[in-house]
Amino acid sequence: MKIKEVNRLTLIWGGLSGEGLSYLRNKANKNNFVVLVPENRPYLLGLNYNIPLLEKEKIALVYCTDNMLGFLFYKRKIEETILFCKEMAEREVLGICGSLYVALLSKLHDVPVKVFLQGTVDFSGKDKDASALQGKKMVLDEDSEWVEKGSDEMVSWEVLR
Amino acid sequence: MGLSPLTYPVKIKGNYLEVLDETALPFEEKYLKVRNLKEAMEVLGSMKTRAFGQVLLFFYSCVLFDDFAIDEIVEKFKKTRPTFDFSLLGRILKEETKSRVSLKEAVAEFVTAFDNSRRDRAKRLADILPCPAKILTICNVNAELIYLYEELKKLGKEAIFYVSETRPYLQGTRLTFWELRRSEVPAYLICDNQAASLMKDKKVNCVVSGADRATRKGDIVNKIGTYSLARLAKYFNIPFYPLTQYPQDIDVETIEIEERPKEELLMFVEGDFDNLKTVYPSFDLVKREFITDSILLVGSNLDI
Repeated sequence: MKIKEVNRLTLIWGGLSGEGLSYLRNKANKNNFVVLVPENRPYLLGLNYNIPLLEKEKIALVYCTDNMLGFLFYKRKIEETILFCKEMAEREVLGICGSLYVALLSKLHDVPVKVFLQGTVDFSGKDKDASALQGKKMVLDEDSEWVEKGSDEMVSWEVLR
Repeated sequence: MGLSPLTYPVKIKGNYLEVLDETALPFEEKYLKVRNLKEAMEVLGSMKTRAFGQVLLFFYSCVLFDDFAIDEIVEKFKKTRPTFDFSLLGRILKEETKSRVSLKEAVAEFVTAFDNSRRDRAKRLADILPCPAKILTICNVNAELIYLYEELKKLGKEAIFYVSETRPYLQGTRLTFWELRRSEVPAYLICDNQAASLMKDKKVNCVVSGADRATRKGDIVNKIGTYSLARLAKYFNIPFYPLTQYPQDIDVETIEIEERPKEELLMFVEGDFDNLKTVYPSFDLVKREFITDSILLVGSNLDI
């Protein structure tokens, strides 16, 4: 699709949960919108976990890589962000790799963020860092130790509100 | 420190061009023969070469495939890669040939001068980066970060790079991370979305990128993902320095942002994606307000 063809996007980050799907289903019944599914590196949760769930529910979606989000925010294509986190605490939430990136870009573009607990995602067998894609090595063996692990990230509620 | 193959990814070899196939890196250093303009368009369109490589490809095509006028070659290059300013390259080439005996001589001198200017630009950037320099970067600037590292070391500044993988084409992983590591430069590879976390944890203290286009107002167009880095850097009070050349008196919003095909977005992943809807803008706009300072190539601030 061309950028000019996409509008009214709801960005999701992290693994969809039943509660999140229910929210999107209800929203789809009332509004015309499209779910924006970024790939969620390093795990590719977007491609391998979220897309099959959304397709099963027949919820309209469009896929992109994580680094395209800034451009889509800049172009005012994103109306809402839904962050699926692993844990919620009084002062912050714990989300997968990239949660802070998404939360801050939302904040900086005045896009509201809704937070749900993440679904039960099996991370075993998924890529752990940028050295591989679907298990396929993208760096030379001797450089493998020079790769940052994809760690969970804390995001304060201050950023999310 | 040896010369990176990405320093001159396109070379003129008698009656053909030798093009480094950047899509085969880092696992294979393979060179393609380009014998005519049609083949040149194929390597350009399939992104076998890009950035400085596409500049060299353009200039050398003008030298070798002289059954086409420079303006015809400009049009073909523009049609294949619409965001990059090949019209400007055409104007530069015509200007250069005014005072030279031959096109070949003009191109050879320009290429040498251009690389010298890139070394100079790296030196000027090294002067202003902090010590230690903890540099976040994106995509690939054809060996200029190696020049930067050399200049930082000359100044006694410790340096470490964090390279954003640059999905979907992975220029960060396959080109920048590879060329820095093969030169034994300290460099870590990260997922594109780890930038904010790195900034928050103070693992990086500056951001350096290339720029495919620059305007006189100070705005730039660069690889997709650059805007996010610039915006986040501003939020964390981290300086953002794009390496720029030939700023033009145009409105950045009028520059066409190339959108690449779905097959390329998904080229490194496997699955059945026939019905999947995707978007793939391949460049970002970054406004002046998010740029600390553009490090301009000396001699490129011209009215052409």
